[in-house]
Amino acid sequence: MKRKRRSPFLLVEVLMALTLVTLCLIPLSLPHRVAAEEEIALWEEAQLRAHAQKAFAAIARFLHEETLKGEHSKIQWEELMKGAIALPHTMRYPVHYPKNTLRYFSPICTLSAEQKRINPQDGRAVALLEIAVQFNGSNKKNPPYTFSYEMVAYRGIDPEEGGEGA
Amino acid sequence: MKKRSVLLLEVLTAIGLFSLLMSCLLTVYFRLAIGAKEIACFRESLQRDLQLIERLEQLLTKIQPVKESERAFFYTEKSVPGQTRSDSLVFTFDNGLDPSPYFSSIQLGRLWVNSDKQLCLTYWPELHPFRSEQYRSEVLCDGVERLEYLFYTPPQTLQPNEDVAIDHPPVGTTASWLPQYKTLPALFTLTLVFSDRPALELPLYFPQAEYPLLFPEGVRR
Repeated sequence: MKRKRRSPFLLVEVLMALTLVTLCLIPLSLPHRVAAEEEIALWEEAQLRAHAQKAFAAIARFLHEETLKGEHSKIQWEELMKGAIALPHTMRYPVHYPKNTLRYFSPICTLSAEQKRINPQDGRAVALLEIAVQFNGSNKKNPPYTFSYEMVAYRGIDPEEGGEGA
Repeated sequence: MKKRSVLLLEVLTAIGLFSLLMSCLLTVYFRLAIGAKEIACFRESLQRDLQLIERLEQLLTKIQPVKESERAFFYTEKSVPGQTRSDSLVFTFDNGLDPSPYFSSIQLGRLWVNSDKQLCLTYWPELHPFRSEQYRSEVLCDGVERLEYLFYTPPQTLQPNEDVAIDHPPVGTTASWLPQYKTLPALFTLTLVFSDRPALELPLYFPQAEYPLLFPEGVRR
């Protein structure tokens, strides 16, 4: 009787072995990828924080200047207290990523007036304004980055009318 | 019984498949390795910028109010051809505690860009401004083309008297700050223009200013 001989190696066996090796190697690369993504998100936040400071500086300067103008100001104090002021900011800020990639982000700026008091130095009304600068992250999984700043707004005094209370 | 030998075709097929899988694996591996290297470079460049920002913030937020002391300074100084690449910033700041008592507390600092494109900070003990042989100089970063300044003064600081107005900064923004201005701007933006990378802009606020942008402590409480 002719005995059936087994082939020295089967193609299917080789393929299976190599597939298993590949599958075992994939999880090894995952932590690196996750760590890299997390680090990029951190650097993205650091750059956006620096841009938020610039955005805040531009807004704060505008509000500061306008409120100190008093009667000639474009901003009504009552509107400012309600936070119903159009903030002048339409700039797009560049954020750098590895591989010389650059993306642009536009901030969404909101204002809220928290309180108003009398400045002990000159007796004029002042308000504490909270400016929130928000950027949507590049990754949809991440929540938007929000940076909050506080500034002071002075109720301007018309030199002809004299002082004014809160 | 004669043993069956391995066919050349089988060996070639195995080698081919193995090469195919190895090329896929190696591509992933090299991509990860290159990615890690790029991230390391990126990290290094950002860390350098953030450290510089932190150092400048640390320095420039400790500026002494010029109104209170005759020895306090804050002004820009015109560039000297061959020595400085742009206007320097001269300011008095609190250096805190230093191992050397000579360099502790109030110092007269000068932020400037030398001819080698290095951003330098030189400081002298306040008692002997510029004349003292004892001074410290540190290089904050390289590759700086020039420094740009933007000082903001709010409208209420304008004095109606012309004689007084000479000693007062112009309302709005200005690119230089004169030594006779006995006040600090409400907002000061320092821009570092680099020769090989984008400019770095740093806004700074002075709570010691006449009408500060940030809420003064006295009003907050």
